[in-house]
Amino acid sequence: MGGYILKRIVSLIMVLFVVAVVDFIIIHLTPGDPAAVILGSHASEDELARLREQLGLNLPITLQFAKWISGVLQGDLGWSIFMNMPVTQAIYEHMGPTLSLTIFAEVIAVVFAIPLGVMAANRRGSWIDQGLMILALLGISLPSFLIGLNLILLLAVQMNWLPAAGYQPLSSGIFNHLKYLILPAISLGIMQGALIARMTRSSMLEVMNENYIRTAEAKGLKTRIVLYKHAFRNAFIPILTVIGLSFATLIGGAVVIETVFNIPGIGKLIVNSVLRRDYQVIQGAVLMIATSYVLINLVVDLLYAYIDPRVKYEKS
Amino acid sequence: MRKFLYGIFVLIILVSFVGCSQATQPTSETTDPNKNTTPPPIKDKNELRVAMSVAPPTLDMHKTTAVVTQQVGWHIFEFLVTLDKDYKVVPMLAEKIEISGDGKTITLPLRKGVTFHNGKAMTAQDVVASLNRWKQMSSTGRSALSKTTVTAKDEMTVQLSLEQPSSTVLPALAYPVQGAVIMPKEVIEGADEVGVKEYIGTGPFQFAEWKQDQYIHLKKFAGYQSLSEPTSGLAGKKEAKVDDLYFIPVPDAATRLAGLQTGEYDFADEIPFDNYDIVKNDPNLTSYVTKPRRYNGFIFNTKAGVFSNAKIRQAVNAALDMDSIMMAATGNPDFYRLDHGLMHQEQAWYVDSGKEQYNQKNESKAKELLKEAGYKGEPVTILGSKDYEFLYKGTLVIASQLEKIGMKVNLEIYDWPTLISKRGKEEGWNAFLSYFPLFAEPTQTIFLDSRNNWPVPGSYHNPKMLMLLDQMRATSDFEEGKKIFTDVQALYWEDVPVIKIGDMYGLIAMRNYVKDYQFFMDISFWNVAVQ
Repeated sequence: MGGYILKRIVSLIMVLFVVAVVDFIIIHLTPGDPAAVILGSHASEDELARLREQLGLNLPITLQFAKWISGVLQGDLGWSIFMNMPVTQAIYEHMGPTLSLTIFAEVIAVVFAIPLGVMAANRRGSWIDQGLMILALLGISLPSFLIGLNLILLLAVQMNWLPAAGYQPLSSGIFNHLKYLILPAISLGIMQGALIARMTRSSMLEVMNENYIRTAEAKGLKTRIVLYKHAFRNAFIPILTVIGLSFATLIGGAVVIETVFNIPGIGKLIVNSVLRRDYQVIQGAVLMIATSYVLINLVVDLLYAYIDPRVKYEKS
Repeated sequence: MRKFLYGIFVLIILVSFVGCSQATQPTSETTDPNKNTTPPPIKDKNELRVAMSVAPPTLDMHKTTAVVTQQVGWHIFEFLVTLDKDYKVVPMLAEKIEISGDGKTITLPLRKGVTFHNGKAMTAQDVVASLNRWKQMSSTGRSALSKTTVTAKDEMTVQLSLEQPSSTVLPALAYPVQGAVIMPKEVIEGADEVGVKEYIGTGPFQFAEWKQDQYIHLKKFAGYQSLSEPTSGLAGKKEAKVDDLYFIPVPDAATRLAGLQTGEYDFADEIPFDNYDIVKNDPNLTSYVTKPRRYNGFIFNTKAGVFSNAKIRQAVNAALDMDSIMMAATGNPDFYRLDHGLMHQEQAWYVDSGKEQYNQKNESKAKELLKEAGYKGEPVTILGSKDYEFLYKGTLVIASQLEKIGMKVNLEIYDWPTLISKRGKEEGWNAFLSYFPLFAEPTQTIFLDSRNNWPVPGSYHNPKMLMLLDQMRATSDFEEGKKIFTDVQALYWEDVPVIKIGDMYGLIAMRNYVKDYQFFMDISFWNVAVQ
């Protein structure tokens, strides 16, 4: 197990280095620069040139990269020109809303998707199965912002039950905090839930053709026991993969939903930083997301062994 | 196990509903004024939450030309002199304006008892430090004060010594965009390349907190010394009638509107014109058409390429049908006005010269001019951006009108920062559509004076134009100056470095309990109350 983790971590560092290089190149190839954003559209070229020099934007790109990457290796992701604070602090401040939203959305997705997926698999071919899968297909196909805007229109503007946009930190009270997250979490959860429900169904169907399920049924066990204790546990590995991936995706900031609901999370930080050309924030945030993506994948792989004792990493 | 899971499921559903019902009972909200909670449908807190379309890059007003910085900043900072409702320069932090007989000395005694937000009394030293920094950083400051020395005559008097009389110094000091605001000397001295480290002014609101991507919080400044004269434009009495003022960047227009409808925000700027009917029909909202606010202009690359030839620019000007461009941009005639003036009708500087060159809609004349200029179908690159919907739509119409007179148009659409950086280079573009804020006096018009190097160094340069502008700057008599401006505007319409398309208004909306709202030049919230 230890050797396996070590191997994974080495490859993880290589992946992250490639991400850092590609990320840096793409951002610096994009036209536009922070000086123009800071000074406004009617600033003269002389003033722009002066600020560029002061900010070190005139340095050769290789030198800028070397400076940045050596900082990263020492745990310093750089400095946000626009927010005038360390990138790590900017990411930290924007992480809270994204984490809350991610967890809430994931809970909504899992709580609804897994029972519905199991139910659909159990009644394969029935109208319930077909109806659920049509709903799931809709959930995957409908863009989340469309769901979000409709929810705002219905539940916020028309009914005035929930706030239309914004964010309140956990420190303002749990209800206040959740109140602002319900609509965005549902908008996000629907899509992730639909994915998980479909995966649950197909994974369950595969397992339910196995001999041991027939044996369990022949023993006269209750359907529910057969479904959850015998079938579901064996079907869970691919489902877990999907949950892990969807969690990783959400951690990266639900860019669109955060914009629609004006939630100051990582997605919004990245979009704003791209618009402002706040280079080091974009680089730092992308690197952070890549890191969490590979880490979550690693954790999911390790969880396989826990869920399914047959999986052993030592020999691989 | 099954029962346990079922229990958890029911619990989650219940919690969601409790959350919902909490939202429907605004009175159960906490009313602790130190806590930032959501405003209920009826305003019970003396605060104002303003949804803006963008976040400012900084609040250091000396530093940037970004209009949004001024929208927030002018609540914190004040000017020596300002503009009244007729756009005339009147004192603000200065007690009065004294101009010597030869016009070469302007003496500004300061109002006594004005303190900064840090408790320090304002003196002439602070003013000198502020004006010198501003003069270095802003192009308005540089052109107006280049031959002017600012000194402290005594503790409470500032003196401007001019080489020759000038009509532009005072309007420049009063102009709010990248304005000559007064900050404490120590703050100026502590500034680095990023800007000042603290936002300390003398205004009716003081800076409290900036939570990036969430809000900028200003608080009422208890020690504010207001003028007693009635409010007029930016001048006269200013009073913070709310305790807390929040500027919340909400880039998504639909969210801005929805948040206003639910009471999450009390005021929203830049409502899309398409939503005019929704705002008008909502019984809780009051809408307001802001005018004058800006004009749209089609900006040529006069340094290089096809449009360095004035004849070809004239051809474009002859061809354009301003009404259809403005209609495309706004979608509603309530939001624009066709006007040829470089200054707005509401301003005393407004003149009629060059009117015949505006909105000609004359295709045959345009084709004739193109032929005379020797245009051979070289492709013309027009930059556009979807970041500003009205500019994008206007750009499309302009492009099609140019194609009609036989120009080969190549539209390139980028995000706004890319567009700005592209237009800063000599090559790679020929024209783009943008907008200009209100100017306090004509020589501030950025594209007339080649010494502004805008949009690129070496842009439109006509010695006669420079001579006229300098003459105007040296004329202290208003009527005399206006006469020269008549020639300036006529010459502008001949040379057309930029084609003025039309005056465009803005749409803002607020909850009904927002009282006494007045619009002048841009959004401001002193003297505004909530009930």
